[in-house]
This record gives sequence, structure tokens and C-alpha cells, in this order.
Amino acid sequence: MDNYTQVLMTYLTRKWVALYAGGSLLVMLISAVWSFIDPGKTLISPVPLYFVFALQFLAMHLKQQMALPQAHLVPGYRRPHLTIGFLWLTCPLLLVGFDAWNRDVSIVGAIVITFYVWLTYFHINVWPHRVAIAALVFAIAAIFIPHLRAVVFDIILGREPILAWSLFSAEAAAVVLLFHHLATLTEDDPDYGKVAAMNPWDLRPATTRTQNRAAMLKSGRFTETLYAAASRRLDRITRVPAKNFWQRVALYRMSGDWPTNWWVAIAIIACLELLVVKQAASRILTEQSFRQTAMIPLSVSTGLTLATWFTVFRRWGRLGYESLRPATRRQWVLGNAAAILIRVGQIQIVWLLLQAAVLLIYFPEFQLSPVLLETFGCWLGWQILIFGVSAWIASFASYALKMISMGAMLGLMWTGWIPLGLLNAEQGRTLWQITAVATGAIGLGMCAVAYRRWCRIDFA
Amino acid sequence: MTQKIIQMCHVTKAFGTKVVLDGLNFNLQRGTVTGLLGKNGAGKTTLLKCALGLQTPQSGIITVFGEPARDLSAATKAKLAYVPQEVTLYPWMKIRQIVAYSRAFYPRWNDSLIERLMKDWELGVEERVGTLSTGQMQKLSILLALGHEPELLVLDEPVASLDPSARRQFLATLLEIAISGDRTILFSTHITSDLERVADHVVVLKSGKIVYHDELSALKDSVKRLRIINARALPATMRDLPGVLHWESTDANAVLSVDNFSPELPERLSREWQAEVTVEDLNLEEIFLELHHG
Repeated sequence: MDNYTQVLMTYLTRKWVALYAGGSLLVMLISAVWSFIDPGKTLISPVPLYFVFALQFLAMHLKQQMALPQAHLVPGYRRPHLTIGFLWLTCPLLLVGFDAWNRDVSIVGAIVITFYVWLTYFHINVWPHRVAIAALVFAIAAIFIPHLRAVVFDIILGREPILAWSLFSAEAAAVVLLFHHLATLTEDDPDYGKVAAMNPWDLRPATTRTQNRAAMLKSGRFTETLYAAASRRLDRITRVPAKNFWQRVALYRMSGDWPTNWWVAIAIIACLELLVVKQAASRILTEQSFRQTAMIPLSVSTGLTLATWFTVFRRWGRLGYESLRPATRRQWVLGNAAAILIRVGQIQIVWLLLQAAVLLIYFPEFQLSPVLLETFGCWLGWQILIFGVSAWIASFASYALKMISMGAMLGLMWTGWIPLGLLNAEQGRTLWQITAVATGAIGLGMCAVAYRRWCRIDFA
Repeated sequence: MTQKIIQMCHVTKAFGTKVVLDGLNFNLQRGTVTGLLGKNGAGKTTLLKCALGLQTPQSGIITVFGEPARDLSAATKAKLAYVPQEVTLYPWMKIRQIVAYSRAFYPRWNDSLIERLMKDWELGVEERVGTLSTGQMQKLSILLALGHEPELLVLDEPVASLDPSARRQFLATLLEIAISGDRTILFSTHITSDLERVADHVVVLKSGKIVYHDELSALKDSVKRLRIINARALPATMRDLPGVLHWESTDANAVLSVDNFSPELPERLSREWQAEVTVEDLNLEEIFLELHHG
């Protein structure tokens, strides 16, 4: 078996990587063949976009292989690993091209647009550079901003060849930079320690992260400002011993991998959302369009709650150690749940205030209207559901399972909310009310299930 | 007051089809310093985690200070400390902050001990946890475990990443703690010389079972190496002697190790086979190797 085959086998023998990559490619192949038989009416198949879930695992796997001493010490190590990684990222584009050819749209256009999404997602999972993050945010924003959406369609239809080739050049340059970064990655680089685990027994990422001294030593002024704020709070609450439940909750809130300062994140995302909602609000305002537009803040709100739970995922390796501090298991579980609930509550209250501001600016006629109350009810029910499901998911050791479940929840939200938003006013009302009650009730049930599970699980 | 700090009765723990602890029985007596020895994968970490209620066995009963390990009260948890093998703490906190953070959870805390250890172990109070080396991180986690002066201290390979000087300091501190109060210490290690220096009891774990648990001195008295020199060939039945752990021989000479040594044994062998029998004491590392032959 040559080096290249051996490297390829490292992907194929990893359960989640093989499952997602193989599954995604199969679906893409079926979709491409189907488009050959029946090109359909859409400009481009949305199926290749789901390949980003596979790319997440492919990127995590590649990063794990390159953030290793062997990458520098073993002769001939880097070339096959980088080549196979590159082929995973680019070869599926052939299917995209074939699909575009069947639909009689620009092959280059379809490829550059699809690859833009793939590459930014892959890039973030390999190297979460701020430019890559901005590029992905821009891609998401393009869905909601009509002018940008029109440009995307023009590229796919081949009306903007110069723009398409320019984008292609930029993507090629980004690929070169990304793979050069991987080829030259050393422990001195703060990115070295950003390695994710794909199973609960994979201790190397945790160790790498813990030992990633470079990242801590190179923390900039912005990070130091965040640390300083958290430090002041920590110094204040640790002056006295935690004698009661709420004092312990205050301590649990400080037990993340980094000092969380969500106000900054909310401020950034809020600015972006204001822009997006403004574009969406430019359409003719009806109750139906209001509900469709409400999808945007609901999505962002969901993302913020999931991000809060993500901090708990990162703590998995030390939860056992933490659980041995003076408190019964039940007190510990409830205390940590309360700590997360407070954090989620803070974020969502700020978020609601921002939504109120958006409403006052763009939708003044909907103030305190039934549709607004129904939307609020749905938002609340959905938040309870996400909290309960996240609490339950967080109790499983598998990082891959957690990430997949998070993706599934977002998928569920989109597939659930979009049809609801498309319903006419009368149908919509009843269904939105039912949705609000049902999601809230299921969410509370999940909270109870999660609590029972947390009280009896084993720790790593 | 209970004398058995940890009790494990018929404990079986398996991960899938792999049985890690196999009907294990173990009692940890108050006031002892017990070293846990075993090969890689013998189940040492699993035993410690089950003992503290972090993992649930498929069968068996485990109690800590008389309480079920899975449901320890806050008061009992305040009396114990655990240092895991893999230490991941809060990277953004400074050392003084993580000390204050840990202190806030406990009803009592020995500030002077912690200050002294931080000075002795050269841990800078203003250093961030994320910038510490593996050895420094291990020192810090040990330090945090000692702050509330636990009655039961459980350490999973605590000195693996420490330099010789830090190891000596740590062992001295461990002895100091053990002597100063009614404390019980259970620790796993591969460094048998360290165990010999501080432990008064030893537990040897092999294939999920405890093959030895007694005082260290008793183990050393029990396991010996015999050198037998004879003018003529030794009988093959020598291998069948009860308690033979390992055997190497040429025609007339043999080296064997036994685990039930008694002063009468060399005399008896000498008399029966008209051989010259000399007895050698073994250090713990040699005993460990002899116990794991075959």
C-alpha cells in the first residue's frame, strides 16, 4: 500500500468521516445523474451545499494530521496528506460541473459559487482565520440581500464571466494560502492547538489545546480586554466561599475555556442582522412576509443559544473533575444548568431588546399585534426546545454526535419554519400557536430527560 | 468512625466487550498511603474513577466514607480530592485566580500551605494557566488538590510529568500530609522507586483483578529470588513448586522467583536436592516484573 492509499484509508476507516463524505458524495452523484435525466427548473441543485457537513469532518481530520510533530519529522509525510486533503475538497466539484452542464448554466459560475461556500467552511474548520469567517458571513448575508443574490444568479447564468473568473482566482489563491499554512504549521502558531476531537477517547485535541501556550502568549489587546473584564468578576466572586446554591452558580459561570463576553458577539451580529432585515423589509409588508422575515432573527437567536452550549461541549474532559467539588451530583447538575440558563437568558434578553428596536424602526405597524405575540410565543417555545435538546446532547461524550445534532437542529428549524412562514395569515396563526405550545412542551420534557441523564452519566 | 475509606465489592466494569475490572474487591484503610501498580491497560484509572463515582460499574458495590460512590454528599466531597491523569484546567485564569476559584468551593483552605508550595514549586501567581508547561500544570493540579487538606487524596499518575527535583518535593509533601493528619492517600504510578519511598501499602492490578494488596514490607518479604546451584541436574518437578512466579534454568543451575517465600523454603530445597540455595531480596520494580511474567 503506497503512502497515498494509506492516507486515504485514514479517512475511510474513520466512521463519521467515511459516513458523511461517502453519503454526501453518493447523494451528489444521484442528484447529478437525476439532473441529466431531468434537468428541472432550478438554476443549480442545492444538494452540493450539504457537502459542507462532510467537509467539516474532512477538515477536522486533515487538521488533526497536520497539527502533529510527525508532519515535520517524518520524511514524505506532508505531501500525501495535503494532496488527499486537496482532492477531497476539489474532486466533488466535478459533480457540480456535471450538474451545471445538465442544467445549461455556466459550469464555471456554478463551480465558483459552490466552491466559495465549501472553501470558506473548510477553511474555518482547518484555520479559523477572521477573513474566512467574514467570507462565510458574507455568503450567508448574500442569501438575504436581494442585490447580492442577483449577482450570484448572474454568475451562475454566465452573465458575469469576469466576476466569475475573478472569484475563481481569489478562491485558488485562498486554497494555496490555506495549504501553505497547513504545510508550515508549527507549535508556535496559535492555530496549532485548535484541533477538534471526533470521538470521546481522542485526548490529543484536549492536550494540544491545553499545551497551546503560543495562543495564550500571543493574545492580543482585544483578548486581554475580555480577560480583564472576566478577571474582575472572578476576583469579586471568589473573595468569599460559596456557601449556597447561587454562589456556586456564579462560580460555575466562570468555568469555560475562555472568558465569554457575549455582548461583543451580539453587537457584531446585531449590526449584520440590522442590515439583512432592512433588505428583507424592503418587500411589501404583509403578515406573511413579516413571518418570513422573522426567520432571520430566529436563526441568529438559535445560533447564539447553541454557541452557549458549545462552551459546555468543550468542558467535557474536565466535567468529572469539576463534579467532585463539594455539592451533590444533583446540586452540581442544577447549578450548571442554572449557570447556562442565566447566560442564555442574558443573551436572549439583549437580543429581544435589539429585535424591539428593529421592529420600531422597520415594522412600526406590527407593535403589540397578534402576529407579533405569536412570533414571540414561537420564539420562546423554540428556545425552550433548543435548551432542552442541547442539554441532552451535551451529556453524550461523542463530539461528533454533538456537532451533528447541532446541525440537525438548525436544519429542523429551517425545514420547520420556512413552510410555516409561507402559510397564509389565517392558517399561519393557528399553526404558529400550536408550534409555540408544542415546542415549549417538548422542550420542557427534554429538560427533564436531560436532567435525569446528567445525574447518572459517566465522565471521561 | 469507619476504618474503610473506600470499599469495592465484586466490582465489574467493562467497556463494550472489554472487561477492565473483573469482580474486583478492594478496601482502602484509613491512614494508609497506598500505591496502585499495574501494566498499561490493567485498569488503574478505571478503578480510581469507579471508586470516586465518576464511572459506574456494571455490577458491584462501591462506597466512599460509607456513602455510595455514585451519590456522594457535599460534605463527603469536601473531604476528598482527585488529581486526574490528564489535567485540563481553565486556560484564561491566572494561577492566583484558579487558586481562589478552587478555594471558594471549599469550607476550609490552607492558604499558608498553598503559598509555600507555590513558592517551592516555582509557580508564578500572575502566570496564566494556558501558558504553563505540562509539568507545571501537573504541579498546579496537585497543589489545588491539597488546598482543602483532604482526608482522602486520590492521584492518578501524579508525578508522570514532573522533573526529579519536583518529584522529590512532591513526595516529601505527600509524606508530610500523610504524617500530619489522619489522611488516606491512594495513587497510581509506574515509578516504583517513588512508590517505595512513600507508600506503606501496595496494590497490584493484573487483568482487572487485584493480585496483591498488603503492606509493602510484606510484599518484599513474600517475593524473593532464589539461586540454586547443584552438582547434578535439577529435577523438572521444581517448576511445580507452589508460588513459583518465574523460572530460568540450565541443567544444574536455576533462578526462580517465588511469591510465598518463607525462611524454611531455602533450607528445605537445599536439603531435598542437595543444592546450594541463596536468597536475593528484590526491589519493587523487580517484584512488579516477576508478578507480570507469563
